[in-house]
Amino acid sequence: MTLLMLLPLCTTVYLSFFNFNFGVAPQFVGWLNYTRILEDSRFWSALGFTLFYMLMSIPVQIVLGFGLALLLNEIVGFKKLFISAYLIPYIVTPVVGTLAVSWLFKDRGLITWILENLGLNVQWYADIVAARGLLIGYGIWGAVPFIMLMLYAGLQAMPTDPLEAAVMDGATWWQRVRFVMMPYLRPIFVFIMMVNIMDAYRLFDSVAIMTQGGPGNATATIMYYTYSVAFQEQLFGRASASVILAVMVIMVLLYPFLRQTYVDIVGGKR
Amino acid sequence: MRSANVRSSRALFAAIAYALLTVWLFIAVFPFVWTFLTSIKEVVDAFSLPPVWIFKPTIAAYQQLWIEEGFSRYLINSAIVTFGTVFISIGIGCFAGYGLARYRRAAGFWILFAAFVFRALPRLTFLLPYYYLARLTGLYDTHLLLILVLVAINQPFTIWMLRSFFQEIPDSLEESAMVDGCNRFQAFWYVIVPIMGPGIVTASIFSMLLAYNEFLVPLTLTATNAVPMPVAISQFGAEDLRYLSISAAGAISIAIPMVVIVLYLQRFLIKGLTAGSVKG
Repeated sequence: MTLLMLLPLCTTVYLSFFNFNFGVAPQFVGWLNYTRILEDSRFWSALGFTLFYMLMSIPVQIVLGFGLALLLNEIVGFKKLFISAYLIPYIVTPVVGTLAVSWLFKDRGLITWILENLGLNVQWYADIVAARGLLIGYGIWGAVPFIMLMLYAGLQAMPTDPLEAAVMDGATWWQRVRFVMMPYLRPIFVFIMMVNIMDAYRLFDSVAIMTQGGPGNATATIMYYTYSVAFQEQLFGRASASVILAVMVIMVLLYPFLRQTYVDIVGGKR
Repeated sequence: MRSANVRSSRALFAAIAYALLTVWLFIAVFPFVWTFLTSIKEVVDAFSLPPVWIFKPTIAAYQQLWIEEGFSRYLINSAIVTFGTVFISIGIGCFAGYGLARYRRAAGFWILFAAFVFRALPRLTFLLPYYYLARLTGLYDTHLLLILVLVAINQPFTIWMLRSFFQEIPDSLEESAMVDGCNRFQAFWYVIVPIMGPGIVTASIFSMLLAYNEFLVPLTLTATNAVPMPVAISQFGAEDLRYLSISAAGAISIAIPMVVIVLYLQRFLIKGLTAGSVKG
């Protein structure tokens, strides 16, 4: 297993130092691939948009997911119905979800048409802000079900004693949420943050299908950029360098969460 | 008086909760409902605006998709790859997960770490070398290659999940089986595996979703022979408006098997989600 993981990683590092194409003998080029990437303005704009995307979508996802989980925890009837429906965007193939949503926003799509009738003429795929907003909105829509289910499951597993004690002490609903439930759910929040950061960082499917990185280069993510360097420009060495740089960035972002998880599992309880 | 107030405020709270939950329910399923409606409309109705709500449903788009476009070969590819991935990764996962569950502590973190590294590292980190090796060995565009790569991506997660289920089973169970004359493997196979049923189903669902839904892996590693459904539909001339109904039919066709299977096995999925997070 480690082999399966380390071997490709080392190969990628190795390849990143070569000028590498099919049919041509690989040629050692030293750091050239890295400098080319770092000089490429598209790399920086892709990294910028990826981070912007994470910053805009993850907080909204978590707030919405937690809100829905709390509501779901309060009600009594129709729970199964709601859960089943919420599961659908999570289990349906992302490509299908992306297509289904993207059609609504096409030139002759339903939502574009409704907005036109309200006097709002939005060119979802031609306008930079709209295209970015669409991807972020889609990302939120796709990620909420998972977050909600995780937190709901956590709430269900929560012991009732501390909650009852809080009610006895006259705590309001919000105080119970803030001071009893949220501390209890903290490990789940950490886990969700981590998964969401990783997923948002890897964003590729919806970009490839909805916007192809356009208009211009405005919605290209780091993965989409790397993919096009590798498979459209056929520069595998340079794409490898791009991936290695991308991995370094994500490791820095994830470090605090990994540390926390290590402490939770090995150091603390159990 | 006070209790009446409390009761009415609770009723109000519940009403708001239901209202908000229903709004999200609508947002969550509407794109799929609309796609389904598009797929059973005549081409003219499919993109007429204002939208046509009353129309004669037709399965013409599905007939075109499955018969004229030969969509079934993509279904076969998807089925082979999904089944192969689930079968292998659960097989390995059961043994490895069981072994590691009996080791305790630090092992847990390192598997979790591996699972995360695999999730965290962009797929392209692995795909570029796999692509290279596949071109060299002639495995490019085969089912076997897709299965191997998906197993590799999925394996740490499967092991970790199965391990957390195995941990819930007390050691005494297989110890007593071994006292009764089983060897370690027999104790595992006849005693532990049967009670692990739900855990295995749960891990299988997650492997299945991963293999069936994956887009980037087959996009880069297949060309014609082994193309599964998600890649096929994404290149299906969705730009051409006349294709809209057919594409929609394709989208619905891809979605239905998973929705049916997963909703049927829903309780396992939720169990898996909890096991995946709270416990070490």
